[in-house]
Amino acid sequence: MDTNRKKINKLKVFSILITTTFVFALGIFFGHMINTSQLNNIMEFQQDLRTQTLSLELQYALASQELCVGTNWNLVGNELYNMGEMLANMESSLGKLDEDVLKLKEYYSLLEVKHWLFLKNVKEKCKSNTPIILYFYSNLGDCDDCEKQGYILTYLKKKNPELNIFSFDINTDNIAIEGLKDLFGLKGKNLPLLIVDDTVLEEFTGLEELNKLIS
Amino acid sequence: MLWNIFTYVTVYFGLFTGIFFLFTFFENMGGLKVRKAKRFPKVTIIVPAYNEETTLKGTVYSLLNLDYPKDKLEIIVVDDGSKDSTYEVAKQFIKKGVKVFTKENGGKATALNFALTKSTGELVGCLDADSFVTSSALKKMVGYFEDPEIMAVTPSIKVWKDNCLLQKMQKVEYLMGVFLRKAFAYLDSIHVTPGPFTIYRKWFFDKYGGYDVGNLTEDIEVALRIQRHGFSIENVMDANVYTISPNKFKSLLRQRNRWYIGFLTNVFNYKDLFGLKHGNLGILVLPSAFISIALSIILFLYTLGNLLNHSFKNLINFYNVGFDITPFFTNSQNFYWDFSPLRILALLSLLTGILMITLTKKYSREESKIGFAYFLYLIAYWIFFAFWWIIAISLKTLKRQVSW
Repeated sequence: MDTNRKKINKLKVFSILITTTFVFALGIFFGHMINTSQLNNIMEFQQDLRTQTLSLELQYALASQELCVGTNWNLVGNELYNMGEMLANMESSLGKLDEDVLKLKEYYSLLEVKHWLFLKNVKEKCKSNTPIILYFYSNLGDCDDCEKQGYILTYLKKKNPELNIFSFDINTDNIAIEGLKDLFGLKGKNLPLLIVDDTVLEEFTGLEELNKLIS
Repeated sequence: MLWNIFTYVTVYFGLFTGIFFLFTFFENMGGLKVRKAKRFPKVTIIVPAYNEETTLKGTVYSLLNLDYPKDKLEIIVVDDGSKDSTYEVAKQFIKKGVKVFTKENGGKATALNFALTKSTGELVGCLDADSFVTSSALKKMVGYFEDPEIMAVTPSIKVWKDNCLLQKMQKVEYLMGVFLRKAFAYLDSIHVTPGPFTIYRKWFFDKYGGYDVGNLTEDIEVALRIQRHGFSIENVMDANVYTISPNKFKSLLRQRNRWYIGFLTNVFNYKDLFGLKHGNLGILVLPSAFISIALSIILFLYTLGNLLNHSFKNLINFYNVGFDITPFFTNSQNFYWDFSPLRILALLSLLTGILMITLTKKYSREESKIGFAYFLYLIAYWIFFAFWWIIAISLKTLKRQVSW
């Protein structure tokens, strides 16, 4: 019997600590690498959206008088919605305060405001009845009903894919969102806030009421 | 933030212990060779039985089939005051040379102590009446006793027939136990000498007393006593013993309550084993057992809290859309694959587990396929483990009685 077996082999423990730390560091490195690659993809997607938005605006500017017939001006809107879903998933994985998430959300909000202005213009020109919903929320724990409201809006969008919903994190720090707040007099109002066309709805709005407004 | 730190600490701990035990195993793989016995000492195998009329026959037959000189093998069955026909079943084996006794019910330890007074073997072991031993096991084990420091030799315990999901999960748990017991043996830190077929030197009981009567896990007590006296416990990875595992949640919970409360009680009684004096056992193996229990419980409670919170929120959300959740089943391409560092690290920990199971299968000559069982084990075992421990700790704190 090797009586040394009982004794702690300090060198062995130390080597395993080093090995574990190395494996641990390697895991963190690979995790970050994969995440960065995914972030780059999302950023590329955002750039594509920007190009699409610009193309759409140009197409609109150059269109003939029949611009309201047969053109689906909301293709970008749907892409934006997909982007929003992806960002929401990313936020729940990486955390609300993750720097990359915040940056992507800021840029996303700018694209949303830009496309909202465009759609608003098209809607007026074409006298369309399709409602446009703006949704302001906060996910910093100061809005108990925001999650519920978000769920109802997702439900509505899934049921009515043609519906235009633009969601904005009220805490996103950019001038465009500040501008929207001023435009609709949102400061001091309780969240969640919905603007269905020009109607401002303060606090939680149920499915029934929303259905009435968009029908 | 605090939770993130906790999860990283948990993963680091899991990786460290996994790598440590794997390293220990690889470092000592030369010791896996069978130590051929130069002589065959007389061995007494005791079968304590209480209401085991259905399984006793199989147990005794497996002992009669042992590849060991018949004149060197003594089999003693002790009926511990069974209420069924256990004693009648046992008596059928008298003509095959099995010694059969019956006594008033007093618990497993009393049955074992009774048999110790009747045994004539130089080595003595026990086989629970719900377990079966493979024919080559004893021959593989006795060779280790040529080293005078070895006081006990443990076999590999495996699950006999995994018919239901609970048994499949236990099958992998037992295989993991086979690996760990071998790694503990290399560290001279085995702290459980399982009831089924651990072989001891008889003189240890003569000198240091028999089994601890009233102890919920007398096998843990004996192992800790051996360690306290500075002797060693070995393990033979391919000496296979099969045991019938509980197939009902309630009986499994009852078994774990007994094991875990017994473990806590015995480790408390032998708390002097912690610390530098007892080397690997006192500094690494016993503390890491407690750390893993604590981490599992915290992880379980946090996950349970989160799950309840999410379920409650979802219920409200479903209510708000009139329980029409069909639109959410549309195929969404907008999924963000979370490959956060934590998940990569968890995956690495998983790989250490897979490697342990693979090594166990190879060196303990386990031929059955365990793919699905392993998947089940990964998903569910930690939940069961934490749950059993929470119940056991609660019962221990409330000083509730648990019987064997």
